[in-house]
Amino acid sequence: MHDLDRDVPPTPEDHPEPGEAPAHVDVLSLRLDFGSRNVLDGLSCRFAEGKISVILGASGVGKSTLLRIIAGLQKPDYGDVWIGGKEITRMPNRELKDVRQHIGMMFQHGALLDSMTVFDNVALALREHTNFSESEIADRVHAQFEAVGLRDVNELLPGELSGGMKKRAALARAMVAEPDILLCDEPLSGLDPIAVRMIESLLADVSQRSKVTMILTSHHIGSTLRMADHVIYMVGGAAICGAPNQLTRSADPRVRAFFEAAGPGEMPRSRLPRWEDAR
Amino acid sequence: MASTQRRDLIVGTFVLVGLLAIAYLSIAIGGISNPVAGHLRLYAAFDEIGGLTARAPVVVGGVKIGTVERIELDPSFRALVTIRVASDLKLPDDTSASILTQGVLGDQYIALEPGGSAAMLADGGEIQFTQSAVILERLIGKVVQGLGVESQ
Amino acid sequence: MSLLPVHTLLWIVQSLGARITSGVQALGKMARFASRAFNATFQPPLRLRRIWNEIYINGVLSLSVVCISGSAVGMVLGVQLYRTLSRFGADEALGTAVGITLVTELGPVLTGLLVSGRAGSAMAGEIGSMVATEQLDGLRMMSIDPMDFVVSPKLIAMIFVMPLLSALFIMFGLGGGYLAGVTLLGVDAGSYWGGIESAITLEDHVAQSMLKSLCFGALIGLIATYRGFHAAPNVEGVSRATTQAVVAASVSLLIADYFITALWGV
Repeated sequence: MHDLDRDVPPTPEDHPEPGEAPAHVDVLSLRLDFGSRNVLDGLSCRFAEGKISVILGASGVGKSTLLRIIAGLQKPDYGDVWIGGKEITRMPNRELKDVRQHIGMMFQHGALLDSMTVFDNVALALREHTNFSESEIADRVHAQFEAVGLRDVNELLPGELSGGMKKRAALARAMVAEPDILLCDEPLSGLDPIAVRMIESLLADVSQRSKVTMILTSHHIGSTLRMADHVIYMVGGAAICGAPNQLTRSADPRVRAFFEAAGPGEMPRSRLPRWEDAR
Repeated sequence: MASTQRRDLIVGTFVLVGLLAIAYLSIAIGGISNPVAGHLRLYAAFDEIGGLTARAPVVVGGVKIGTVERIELDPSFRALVTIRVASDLKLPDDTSASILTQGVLGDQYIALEPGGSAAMLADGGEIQFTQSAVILERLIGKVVQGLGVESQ
Repeated sequence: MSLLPVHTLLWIVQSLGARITSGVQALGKMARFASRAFNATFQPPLRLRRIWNEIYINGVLSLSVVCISGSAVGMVLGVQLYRTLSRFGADEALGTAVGITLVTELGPVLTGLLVSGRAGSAMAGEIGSMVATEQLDGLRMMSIDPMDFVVSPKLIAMIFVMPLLSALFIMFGLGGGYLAGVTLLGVDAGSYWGGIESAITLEDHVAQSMLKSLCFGALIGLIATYRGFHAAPNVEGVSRATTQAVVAASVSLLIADYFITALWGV
């Protein structure tokens, strides 16, 4: 957590943490207000390269907002986001477009284009930005379908997919362009427990094979503890970061309350420290 | 995919029909003169053109054969009217031009009466015999004057 | 001496001022949106397939509305103008009257209003729901500009389609006028068509009509896409965007109609 009295936003070199893998994404002293409501207040955290990091927190705490800021879809009022050594919140759109070619994003409800078939959706990035022939594109798309376990979906429209299939298709779309960073907004929400386990193992698989830097948001404690190399627990507009076992043993009362409420499922809302209470 | 092909056909037909409708409105109804055929320009000087305006029709025997292109003042303060007709029209050089009114209170137009001469008007030729427009007010004025003279 | 208490008056002035300020701001926002949209239009890739699709959605699917309304309006004009003209013994001028009214005014304006209600609202709704379901963000994350991919094809299609639909409306209207005037009311067919042909010129009438259609197409396209793009990302926001789009497009269209009519031939 950073000292908000400093005028100059700190650079990544200011807080080296020995023994950690190099940070691919660095978030420094973010502050964001939605009108009169403060959402992020001095939030800093690092996302290690090639690892799975999970942004954990109660509903409404600002996890998706943080992810969107990292994706560049939202600009913070104050603070920096460094991706691969480049600061993105003040980058012109042209450069941001180039940076995004190496980022894939999986949206909570898929966000596939309803007017196009699943195949065309997944192939879109390749058709737009590469010179691959149609047959090469077809190979790559089908390879992705294989990898995420989708069968016979080529001609289907997104509206015809089940929730689980939508998530897989969204993942296929995010990964088809072989990004360095994968952002997933609530990949496990809205699924039954079996589907949750399947997506979990799918994501772990993707991480293993492609060594992509994966950043997810979630409010599933169980999955988080199973999957994450690194947990960013959001509360009170800021983040408490650490490895899963570090956090479960943390002395911070807010963290303790949170993890003690954990079963292998969703967080019971009423027993969680909410950001309004924490302030 | 069959449905895309059918859709393409439908859209293509729609665009075609729409363009045809625009073309019909412009040409058949709106009356673009045939750009392929050439044009002949003729001049006629009038003392008085009345309400004649550009684009007014030029007729022979009631049939429209051209339009008024320009109206300007010539050095001797007469109104010089430029008429545009199709170039395949052969008008004798003793043709006369009069400015008439459609109906009693309608728009004014130019009526040409072909003469009997063997020589034809060429591009840029001038119609020698012109009759100015009748100005209603002057006519009424004359009638009143005439009545006044008579009663004296 | 005003009966209203002072603070009510102040409130009225204040809210009026706020309204005007936000109105001007909105105008500025729209102008910036429009310039981005046109920029995206003139830059490659041209996205012909998407434009073609949009022509289908906005043009072909509006055909039935346009043709039926055109015929109906033509018939009403035939009957109404016949009544007025026959009072002056000028019923032979029916063709001229119907023709000029349809070509210069009712054709482009009514087609514009119909299209704004049908295609314009659908356009706003579609883009609005794309915002709500994060589809536009999805495009941004794939480094695809939503203005270029979504807005621009719709805009181009709308501008292209309007003159076509107007012309068809006019044709059906002329036919409707014929049906009412000639077939039902006994006006001479020759004078009907003759009246139309003699009165309507390319320069005075048809060109004006097509210019109006193009402008209306641009207005509807811009307003509908703008409203959709800036809709609040929820169901209520999308529905509000839809109705606002139709209202704004219709009003702007009518105002533009006045200006074009008044300034034509100047």
